[in-house]
Amino acid sequence: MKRKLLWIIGGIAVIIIIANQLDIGPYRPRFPIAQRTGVPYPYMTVEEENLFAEIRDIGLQRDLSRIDKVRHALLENHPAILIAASLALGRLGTKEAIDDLHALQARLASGSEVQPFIALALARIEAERDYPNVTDENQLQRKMKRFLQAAKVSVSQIHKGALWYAEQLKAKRYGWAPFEVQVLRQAAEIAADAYQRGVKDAFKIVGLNFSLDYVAQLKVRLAQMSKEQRISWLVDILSKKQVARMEEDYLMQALADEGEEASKAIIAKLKEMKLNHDKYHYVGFMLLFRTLTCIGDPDAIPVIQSFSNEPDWLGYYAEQAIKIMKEGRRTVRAVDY
Amino acid sequence: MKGKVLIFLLMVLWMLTIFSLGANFFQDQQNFRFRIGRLILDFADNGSANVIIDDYGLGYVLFNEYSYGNNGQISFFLPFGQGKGIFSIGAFVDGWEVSEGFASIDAFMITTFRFNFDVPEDIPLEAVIPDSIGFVLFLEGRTNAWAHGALPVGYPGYASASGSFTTELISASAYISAFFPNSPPYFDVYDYDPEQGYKRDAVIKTVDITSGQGEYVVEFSGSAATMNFNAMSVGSAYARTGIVVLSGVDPLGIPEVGDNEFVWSKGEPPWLWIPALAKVVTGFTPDDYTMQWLAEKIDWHVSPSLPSTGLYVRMYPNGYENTFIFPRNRFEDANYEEPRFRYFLIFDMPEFLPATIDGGFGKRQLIMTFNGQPVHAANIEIFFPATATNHPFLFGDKGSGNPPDEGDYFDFVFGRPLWAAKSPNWFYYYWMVAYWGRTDIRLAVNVPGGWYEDGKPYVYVGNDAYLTYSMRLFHIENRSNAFGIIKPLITFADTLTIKGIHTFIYTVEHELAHKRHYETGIYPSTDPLTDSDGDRLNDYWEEGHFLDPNTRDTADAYNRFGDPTPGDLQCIADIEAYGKLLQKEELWRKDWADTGLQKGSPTPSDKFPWVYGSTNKNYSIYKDLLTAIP
Repeated sequence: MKRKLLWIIGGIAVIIIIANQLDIGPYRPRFPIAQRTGVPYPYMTVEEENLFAEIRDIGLQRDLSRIDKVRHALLENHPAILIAASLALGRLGTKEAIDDLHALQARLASGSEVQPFIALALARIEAERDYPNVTDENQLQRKMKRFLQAAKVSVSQIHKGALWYAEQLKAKRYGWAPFEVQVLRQAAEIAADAYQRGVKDAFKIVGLNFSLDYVAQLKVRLAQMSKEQRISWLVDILSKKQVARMEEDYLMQALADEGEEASKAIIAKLKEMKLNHDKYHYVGFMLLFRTLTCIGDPDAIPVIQSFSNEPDWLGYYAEQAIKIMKEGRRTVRAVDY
Repeated sequence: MKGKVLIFLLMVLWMLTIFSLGANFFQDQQNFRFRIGRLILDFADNGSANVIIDDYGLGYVLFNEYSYGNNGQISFFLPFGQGKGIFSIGAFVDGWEVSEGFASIDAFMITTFRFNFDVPEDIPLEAVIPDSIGFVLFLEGRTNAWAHGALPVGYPGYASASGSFTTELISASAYISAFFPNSPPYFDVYDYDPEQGYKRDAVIKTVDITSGQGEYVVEFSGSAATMNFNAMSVGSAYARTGIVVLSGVDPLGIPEVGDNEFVWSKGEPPWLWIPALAKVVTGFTPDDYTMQWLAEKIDWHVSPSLPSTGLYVRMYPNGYENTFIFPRNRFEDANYEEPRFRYFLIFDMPEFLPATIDGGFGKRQLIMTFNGQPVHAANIEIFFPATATNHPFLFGDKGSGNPPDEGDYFDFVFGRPLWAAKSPNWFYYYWMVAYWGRTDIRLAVNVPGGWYEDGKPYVYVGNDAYLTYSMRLFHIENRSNAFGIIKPLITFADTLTIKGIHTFIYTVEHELAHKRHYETGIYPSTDPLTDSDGDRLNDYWEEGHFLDPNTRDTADAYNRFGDPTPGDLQCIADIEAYGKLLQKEELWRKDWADTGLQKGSPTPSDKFPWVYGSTNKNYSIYKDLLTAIP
């Protein structure tokens, strides 16, 4: 009887171990997830908010000459700045930042929401360091594998995480996208880089399903467009919006990341919208105003100002954007884009 | 023999009547300065003397470091040394070889102790500013009369000498008169020191310093005289003064600007160490006997009292009880350490810190006593170490140190059981002060921020809810709609930077607001048809409360800073949290964390206890900031 019991327990343990190895079973997030209404991150000073925007730019532009600014930002306290700095260092992909990221890891509480982003950055650095300029499918395959290995997540867990997150969003349980989804977004970015370098099947590599996450899907979609197409599409889609949900933050960020050309396109669109006021919902105006606060183009101020006497929400949002811009702030709409 | 006696008498008469010289000595004032925290102590001497000397004997007089001889010239044997609080006079005549002489000095001196209060520029409105300084004034002195004769043998000799001084506490005098017959050859010395050493006394004094300055003047008067024929004689008087002041903590310290602050230790059992030092401020090197005599009369206590196991420890600088610093001469030795008595008041607890704020923290006075009477009370403040965990358990809860949890010990945060770690002191004492009895407020160890999970009976306070935080404030702006009807809209208006117990209160109130909103059905609105912007608030509810139903962050004050929670949900929680925080603003008075609102040098009083972004001061330009959901 005793022996039988031992066999049963042993058998169950073996099944669990095998299932674990084969990645069979439910979603097991690598980092704890909290879907909750938390104390908001502190309001930023003008300097903090501009630093926030700048370090994000440095990462996107792969501007290694300004890496010290990003490394220095790791000493800040605001979680969003730390997330932006970690992601920027991941994009820059230089190993000199590894110690800084480890130091930040040690400084922050283990339950800090910044921790997954540090792990993400460390994984991205490993991948970028080993495969900086991917020009063929083989290299991309190896780079992607290296990235997932370093992130310690499997394709299956990524997909499970993405499905779980989609469920949460559906149920309006908001919080940071789990680590696995952030990995998917970074993978989409890596693939997009390779696509830009001529790897045509970049998005089919390693079997990742980017369509499971709205943001990863957006990255994939935009990567397959030219800059002009991206700007035009984003301006158009934002101008037609009637509600501003979380998804719109990523659209605004994607458009703002196109820089000055995007600003010019938005200004032209706003002028056109002013003439055809009735065809647009005030939310479309608001989203374009907010996108302009991300770019920080001073030429946009008089254009937004021209809406400030409009009634109701339109005038309200115009004044809101003007106030931000006159304070000399540049905003970030989606730090994890 | 007859002739010799006659000659002697004539000489005496001659000495008394024929010639005399009057002169005045004025001592230049030269300050000595000591600094003890905010107390700057200057002291200076000022004196004058009348001198009479005959010019036949070899006579001269002394007044401190000046001397005047019979050759009509004033000699300076030592450099200036005034400001020492020393009164020293002497008269000397050497009637060698049948000479006669006379010398006398009447002197007066004052030593002024000037107490300057180095008042800081920006003092919080409610700070307790010391208005007086108490100290122990001590005086000691001796007099002497001495004669030696006859000189040379073969002639009779005569001498008289006297010395005296008077002060407010002590006085002394000595007098001698001697005749030295010449036959048989006779040689003798008379030395008269009636007190056989120093007389000394001490008294407690208090000086008003409300004007920022006060002084106390010690007066010395005395005389010395001598006359002789064929003899040598000296009359002298010596007196000196000094003070004993509280110096272990700043005697005029203002804890409200960061002076005299002490923190209980972080370990278990905890202890608190307050250095109680009395400094003997003198212009001279006090001798060991004087130091001992003063030290025996000095004692200390803290009021209101602090809890302790009763262990009360005194330690002395040389490591042995009842030993003192033996001062060397400060004028010669650069390493001279001012004489002082060192005590350390050590309070200890058997296991944990005092259970309540009033029990072991906050404003106290370190009181120095002399002969059991209070001399001076220095204001001090006692803090708890915020991030340590050496507070007692609540109601015998041997687990987390969290507020009592009604038996539900199985509460996990991020897979970590709450009972696994004890809460930091800031959480324990802030909760005691602001939310005593509220069992729905919990600490989440190792997780920053604070949060509420839908439907849970608790709100969670993160591990950083005592640090500086910048919160958002809102008001209503009216805009007309397309039909010209005025429409009020919630607008982000200002920020408020808070810390310490205010951050804790804000965090709790923000989360309690979320909990209230959930429990009263303000959120969640799960029907996408009635929640257009997905912020969990019903569109109609938003419209009715001046938020945009089509934008999840109407005020654009949250989500652009990385916050994943919908801005509108945060906005209504922040509005209520501000209202509650205003009601509890005064609790900064109970914030005795060493990272809290009363520790260190605070911001200027117009920026305390918090700062609004619109003015960078403790008031907002907006008079209509929302404190409840409109």
